[in-house]
Amino acid sequence: MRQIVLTLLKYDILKKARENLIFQFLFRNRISVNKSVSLYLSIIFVYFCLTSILPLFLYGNSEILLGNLKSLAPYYHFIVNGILVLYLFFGSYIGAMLIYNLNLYENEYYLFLPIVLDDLVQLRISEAVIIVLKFFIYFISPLLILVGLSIGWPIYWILLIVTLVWILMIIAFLVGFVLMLAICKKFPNHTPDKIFITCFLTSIFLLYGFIRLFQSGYIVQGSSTVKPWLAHFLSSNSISVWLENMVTQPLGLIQYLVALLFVVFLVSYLWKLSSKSLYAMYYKIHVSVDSITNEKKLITYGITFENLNKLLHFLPSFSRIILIKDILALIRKPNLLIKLLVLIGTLIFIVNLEYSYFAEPLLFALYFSSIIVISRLFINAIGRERGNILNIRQLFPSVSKYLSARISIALLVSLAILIPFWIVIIIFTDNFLIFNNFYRIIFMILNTIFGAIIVIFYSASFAKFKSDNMDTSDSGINPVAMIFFWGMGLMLSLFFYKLDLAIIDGVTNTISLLILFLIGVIILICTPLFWYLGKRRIRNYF
Amino acid sequence: MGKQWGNMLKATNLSKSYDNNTFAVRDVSFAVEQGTILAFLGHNGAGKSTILKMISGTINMNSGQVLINGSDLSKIDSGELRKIKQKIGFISENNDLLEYLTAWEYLFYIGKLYGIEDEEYLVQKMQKLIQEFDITQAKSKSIGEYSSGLKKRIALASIMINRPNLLLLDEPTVHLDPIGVKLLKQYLKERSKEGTAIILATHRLEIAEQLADQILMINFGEKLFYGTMMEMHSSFQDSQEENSLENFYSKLIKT
Repeated sequence: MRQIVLTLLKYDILKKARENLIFQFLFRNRISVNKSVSLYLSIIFVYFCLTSILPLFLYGNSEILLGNLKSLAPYYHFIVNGILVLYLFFGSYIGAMLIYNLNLYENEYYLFLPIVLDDLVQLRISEAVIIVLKFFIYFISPLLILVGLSIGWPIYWILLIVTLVWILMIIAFLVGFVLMLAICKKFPNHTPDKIFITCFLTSIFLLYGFIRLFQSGYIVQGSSTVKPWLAHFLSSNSISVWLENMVTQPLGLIQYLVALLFVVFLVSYLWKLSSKSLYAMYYKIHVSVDSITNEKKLITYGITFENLNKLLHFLPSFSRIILIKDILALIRKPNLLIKLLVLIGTLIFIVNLEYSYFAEPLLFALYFSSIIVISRLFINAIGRERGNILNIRQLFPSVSKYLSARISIALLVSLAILIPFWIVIIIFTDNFLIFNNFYRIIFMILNTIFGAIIVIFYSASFAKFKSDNMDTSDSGINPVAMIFFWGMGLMLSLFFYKLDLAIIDGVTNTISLLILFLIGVIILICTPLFWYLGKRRIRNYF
Repeated sequence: MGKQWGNMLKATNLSKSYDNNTFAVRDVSFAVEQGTILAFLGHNGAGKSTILKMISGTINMNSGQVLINGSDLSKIDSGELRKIKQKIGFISENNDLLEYLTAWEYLFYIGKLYGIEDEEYLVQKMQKLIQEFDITQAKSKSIGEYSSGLKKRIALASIMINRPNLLLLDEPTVHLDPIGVKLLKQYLKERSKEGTAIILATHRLEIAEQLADQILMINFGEKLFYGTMMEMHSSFQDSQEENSLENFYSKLIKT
């Protein structure tokens, strides 16, 4: 079994590596599996050395070289506890997504191969843990090392704390994973994505409410001893404090050995529990999955389609068909929405804790998420599967009429989604800090739409629109287009955010002006070129 | 010591339902001997693929029994099921291949999953299959870049890597050009002569007519006819109609 899972995993790592843009640029998919996997792992290792180990040995405890790093020191507890909470959510998110994706064709494909359900479960859990480890290597360990350096700990203390957080992170992840599977099992009639959103938002709101109440003093009114006691209890019993104590007041060898044994037992127990829960979930779906289930889904889809069609009968028929298809496509793929909710929720939460004035980062987050939502819808509208596009395309007299209908509908759908989303954020922030100006709302909508239109043409010029091979599935978007998509989205968000602050609030400084100037120049030069390339590409597609 | 590979697959009263009213397959029984070809015939959605998936252990059945070499699929543990699956070659209707790999890498991958440890032997085997199935640029082209016909050939080559005792083929001729179909038929006949038991699901009656020793006709998940080709032909003895599978199928559907 181990051999089979390792083989599956090796090729899975390769698959992910080959989907990686840098990898594609460098190696162009033409080197053997063994070399590809070793190169990919070497790149991760080199990255780890450069970002984590190297600064540790280069800077050590040198006061002179630390410079601004000192400012990280007060955040030690916030960062360590935050990492563990983040991983708990990370685990539950991946657990929910694994159940959500159970019906995916890929799972059935694996079972056509000479492997069994057990192997598949082990593969999925191993994959999830690898994602977590990679995230740890890329972001968490460098951050922890910097925090350790800023506090002034010796190198071996820092390495010890990184190791301890690493172990706890895996435990937190697996606990989140098992919890989500257990909750989903209890609510078989609700989809895992909805369960995750509910759990995530409820816990965020509860924590947020608790902190606000605690800060305002209502929670401990009438008792002057509870608040200091609670503060003392939390500050002396949080995980970050335990870890600090373990590192700064080293334990004896036997105590370390006992702790190690306990951790090994706990991790293997949690791993077994995760496998068992996922197996049970897979088995349940495994029993019921087949073409009839898909057929039933199609029938439900058809009925919903027909009902919406009747409901929107006042619209012209072509536009109606596309509109309904877009709405249904979005409802059936809620992943993007989940990610955005998580992003916005986390941002608001973190920002709220740390700053009294949080309008600026929130404004940027709003621009970014809005541009991404609209752009994704535009890409969906243009980059739909070839067969579907051609069927509907035939109803229109020309490609440009078809495209303009599609894009205007994508725009309408985007606004219909974004406006309630903005309203929720306004209510959530409860003091209208951002939307205190009517012109800002108009300015923001215009900016977002303009930004999205630019992004879509940039992306379309790199998208995978092949016209030479009828059998190629074109449902996916070329990763090269995706890097432009995210990159441009980020750049434009920054541009509009700075522009917004400058025009509406009159906030300017040298750096803002420089950013505005540089991005503005890039947009001015590149947009006409990519607009032309993108349009040509889309036209060639038909 | 594990069991020696036997010569038979036996399925008894297979049923698959999604709720109390909807049956994808209902009470279907059949058996296939070593060295024989059994064809599943039926319209789209008749339940052919579902039966193939049940007997390959890809999906579970609600009731019934599948015996492969005497081992009951529903009663064995994962380890034993894996061993059995390593002796079964399954090709689904679609070209389900890992498109980011080259054909060479893919065959190597499948070889490893079939548990072939000796890499020298595996490479020799791959070279032979690549030649036999005429797969060009196997080391340099990723599978995604091949035509559908060539993808099907790669899929066929991949399941032959471990010389399976039981071949399960779901619409094997889809995507193949006439030369590919000819190659496939020839290949299946050879494998059958060597003792491989083959089950193919198809709605192309002429393919079944040319290859099959036995046929199982299914209509909306239920058995219409199960027997040898001889039995099918003998049903035309008193009939004015042309003795063909097509006429036999039409007659059954009408009744």
